[in-house]
Amino acid sequence: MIVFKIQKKLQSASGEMLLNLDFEIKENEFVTLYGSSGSGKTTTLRILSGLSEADKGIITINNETWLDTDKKIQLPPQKRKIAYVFQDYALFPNMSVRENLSYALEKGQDKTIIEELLTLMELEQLQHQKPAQLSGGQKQRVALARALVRQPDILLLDEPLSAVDHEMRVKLQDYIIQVHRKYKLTTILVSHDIAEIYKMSDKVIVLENGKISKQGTPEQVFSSRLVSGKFQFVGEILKIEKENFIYIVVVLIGNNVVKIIAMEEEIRDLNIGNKVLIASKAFNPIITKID
Amino acid sequence: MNLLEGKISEIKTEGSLSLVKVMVQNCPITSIVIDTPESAGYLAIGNAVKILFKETEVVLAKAFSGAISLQNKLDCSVHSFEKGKLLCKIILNFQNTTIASVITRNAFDQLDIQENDLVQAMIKTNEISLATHD
Repeated sequence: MIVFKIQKKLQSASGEMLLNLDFEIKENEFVTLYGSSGSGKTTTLRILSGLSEADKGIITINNETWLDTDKKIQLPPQKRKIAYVFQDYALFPNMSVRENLSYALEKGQDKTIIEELLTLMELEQLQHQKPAQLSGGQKQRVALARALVRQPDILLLDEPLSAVDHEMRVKLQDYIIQVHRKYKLTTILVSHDIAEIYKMSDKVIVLENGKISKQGTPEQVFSSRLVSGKFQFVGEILKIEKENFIYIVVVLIGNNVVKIIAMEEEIRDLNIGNKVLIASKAFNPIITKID
Repeated sequence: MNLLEGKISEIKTEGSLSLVKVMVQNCPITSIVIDTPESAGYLAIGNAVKILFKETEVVLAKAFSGAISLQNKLDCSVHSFEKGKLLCKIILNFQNTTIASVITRNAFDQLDIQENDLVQAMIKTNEISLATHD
């Protein structure tokens, strides 16, 4: 359990802002911080990792105190069992993939973790290549693997997927979910992509001007109303076709393109590129095994 | 999507399924959902809910007699319609609002639907979704 109660004055574009947060995250939970830029998401991750100082507050991880400004306790970043992955991969350009990972090993640490991560992240074929020879998605996989070498308890992801294309993004999401489960991590992601948040998160914390404006499951936070339908997906409108008084809305859900019949009244405030919730009764879909 | 507003008057639960009866003025409409009063807070007698169902799931009957398994029967009158080659969209007056039904052109012609006709709109229990403001 992470208990995070923090205050910090920040200088933002619109003047001074007080970051004032109080939240708890359960062990092995996948939580997303969501909010406009300048709302305090990155600062929150930096304070948790120890890279930024808070003016006041406490952070405890499973009853271990990492920060208590009243008692002048502040655990240095290297003593916090945290992995931090940014949008910028920050790989060493002169080292191979394997060397980048090995460099992260602690003195005396068992080296088998390197093999395990190379296999898990499907990097064996690339292990002797230098970062310059890799694609953006491959570099991000290496950055993620390197962050996990020291077997952290907490994984912080600050928009790690925003620079990669859609297909690679979906794959990287799967890798992240896989390591989150395998290493029983508590993961905190900063993301703006609602489809991504639905796919990955147990819980969403929405920040506005340094304060929590809303928190809950993705459904509770992002559905303007709760629909009982159990067959629900978030997608993006690719195309709207008109057939007489019926409209066929083409929606991208993950990697799949689906079509939905809609009426004129439903189409009125829909445009190409809009994020939409698709809901149906669980009684309708037909399920068949694919060989 | 058709939308009606009503109040929950009865909930029967078995395992994780609930059969929910909602009164829309004096017309009962039932929905089956994979939720229970324990799993979904909005499932409580007296709560206001929205009833959602797709136009394409609305069956129309005219001067109907005999037994039918469809539980939700709404007495309506035909307000207007649009005809296509394959499908027709019929706007129906129901209570003080309207709902729409989309049926095939063949069915429309067989029923010989005219404006102001009295018809019954029927929707299967498992086609009704419930929604609530959070």
